[in-house]
Amino acid sequence: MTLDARLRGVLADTLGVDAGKLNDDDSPRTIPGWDSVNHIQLILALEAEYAVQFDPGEIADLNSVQAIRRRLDRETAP
Amino acid sequence: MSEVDGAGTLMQAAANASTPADYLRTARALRESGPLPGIRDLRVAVLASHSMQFSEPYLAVEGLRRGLRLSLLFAPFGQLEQPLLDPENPLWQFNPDVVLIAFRPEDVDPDVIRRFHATGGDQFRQVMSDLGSRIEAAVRRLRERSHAAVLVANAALPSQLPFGLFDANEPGALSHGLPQANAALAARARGLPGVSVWDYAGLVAAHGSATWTDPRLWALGRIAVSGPNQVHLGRHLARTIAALVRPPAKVLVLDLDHTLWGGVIGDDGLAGIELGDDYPGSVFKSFQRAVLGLADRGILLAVASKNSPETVAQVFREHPEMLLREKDLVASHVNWGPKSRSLLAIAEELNLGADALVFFDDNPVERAEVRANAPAVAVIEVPADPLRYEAALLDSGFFDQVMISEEDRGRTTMYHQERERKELAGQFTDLSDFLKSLEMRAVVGRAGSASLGRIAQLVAKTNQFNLTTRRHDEATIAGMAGQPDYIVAWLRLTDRFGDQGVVAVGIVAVEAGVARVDTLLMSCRVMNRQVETALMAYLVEGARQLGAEQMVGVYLPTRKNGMVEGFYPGLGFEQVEGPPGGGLGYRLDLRSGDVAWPGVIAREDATDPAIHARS
Repeated sequence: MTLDARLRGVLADTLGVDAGKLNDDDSPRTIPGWDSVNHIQLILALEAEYAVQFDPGEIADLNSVQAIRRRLDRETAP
Repeated sequence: MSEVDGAGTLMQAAANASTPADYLRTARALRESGPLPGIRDLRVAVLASHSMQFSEPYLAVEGLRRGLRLSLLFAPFGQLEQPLLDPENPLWQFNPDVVLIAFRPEDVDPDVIRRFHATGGDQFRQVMSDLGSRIEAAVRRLRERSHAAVLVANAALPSQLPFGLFDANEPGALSHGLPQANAALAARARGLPGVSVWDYAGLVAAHGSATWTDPRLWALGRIAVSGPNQVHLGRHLARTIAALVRPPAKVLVLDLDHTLWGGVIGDDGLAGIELGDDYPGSVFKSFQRAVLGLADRGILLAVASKNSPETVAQVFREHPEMLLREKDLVASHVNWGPKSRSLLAIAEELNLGADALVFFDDNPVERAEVRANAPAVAVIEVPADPLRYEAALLDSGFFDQVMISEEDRGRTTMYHQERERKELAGQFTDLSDFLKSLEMRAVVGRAGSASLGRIAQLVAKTNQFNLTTRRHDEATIAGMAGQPDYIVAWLRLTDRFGDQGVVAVGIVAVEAGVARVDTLLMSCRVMNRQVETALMAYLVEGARQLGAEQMVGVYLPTRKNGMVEGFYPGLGFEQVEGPPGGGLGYRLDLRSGDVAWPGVIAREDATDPAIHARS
């Protein structure tokens, strides 16, 4: 899965960034709005959007656009 | 984009928000937007034992749906005393309009619920009582520098109870002890000016304690409310805050066909409409019961229906299953004209603004017509299925009221007494003969714990007979009443038809021989009965006792208070320069002039202890 419009939309809404400027390398280091509170907001927004539930252990590791994309890829893989 | 468009777009986004991403996006747009016309700004400070920052977007968007822009300040979790004891704390700079105190007993002491039986519940009761004392002390500290309204969260029962399945089988168990502790908290809050309970227990129960908390969120961030429940929390708390700052609607105007009964009376006839104890008639009967429940709380009921009046009267009088009867209605407009016209006529008949009305009609075309032609009327979005009417009515939020006064409980009766009074007036040609025949008796007194709630209610909602329309909150009024150079007076009126309750309020400050009328207002129910003169006479008397040699008052015009423009001249005040911000100024020299107590009203002085006598 590439960084599609659906994922871009959730990331942009949650983190307050321009959807068009997001890429795989973005993380809390490159996005100022990606703080600890917003990280959990993001996790819950993703869970609602993709109807998934993340394990508490993996929530902290979903700390880059790439990590999130790969994790969701696993979810949607056939 | 203009400011107005900005407000409209944001309101639309708030109305449509459903996913977490929607809430976050809309909350951000709201934070970043400029001034929003018609939206009220409110600063809310949160002191909580768990991390509530997470709820901010949900609260902000649900607030916007109710016409409020909520700016939130969160103290670090677990801090109750610290922010209030530190004069440099950001809380003071923030200057909140509302302070929420949300401390859960299990956060204060993790043992009190899980290990309830280790002390036979003693420790739980101790923690709840200590928490109450801490909150009371915090409120007193807050009151030294702030008039903010205070909300105190009560405690919710957990899903797993200390004694397990049979917890409620034990008279001394948490199942019973927790509601008792909440009742004690409510009693404590009632004794503190401007403090109300936020029903967190009710919120959790309504949405289910089993799924209220997400253990992952608690473990990761001390967040006590699951993701999906954040919307419910935001909605409930925003609605509670809105109720603190906005008076409830006064009248529920109901449609008849398909609303109070199933079917169309004009087509189906008395025997054919659906109303009774079996489905589907039972649904409508149950809805009528809910409507009467609102009337019990002081909401006036009226009817606006497209029908012939005789047919409708027959249903109200003769249908054995009707719970609503003619005596429950204060106005009934049954005709073939547009409903907007009926609604505006009802408002006029009851001497109320159209914004005091709420309209309930199953027909979306009628609702749209009213929205277009009587935009001030609140319109409930009625679901298509009658089974859902009751929830739509009771959850609309238009009738949310922080307290129910004695006056509220008897309101429909009072309106009927007013009708009898008008009939009596028709028998007289001389006004003073009529007034004498009413056998009026006024009890006057100073604000005390028993009257403060009703005074605050009148100050919050009186629009027409109100000289200054200053919306002091309850804590401010209590503060004024506690000062020796202030007079916060009320008047209660009784006549041969019954008790009207507390109907007029006056606030006067005396300084250096000058008595300034800060507030003077009266319920329109008792217009033209010299009640306002009686209250002024009482205020003048009080002002003299405080050394006043003159009394000054202002009339601050609003869209609604034109009826009191001639009030001061009518009492012999001379016009003087008005206040700098606009309005008319008046003065009465108390050495040469006076306001006499009207002869048609008997006077009685209250024994209710004044407020400064109790603290």
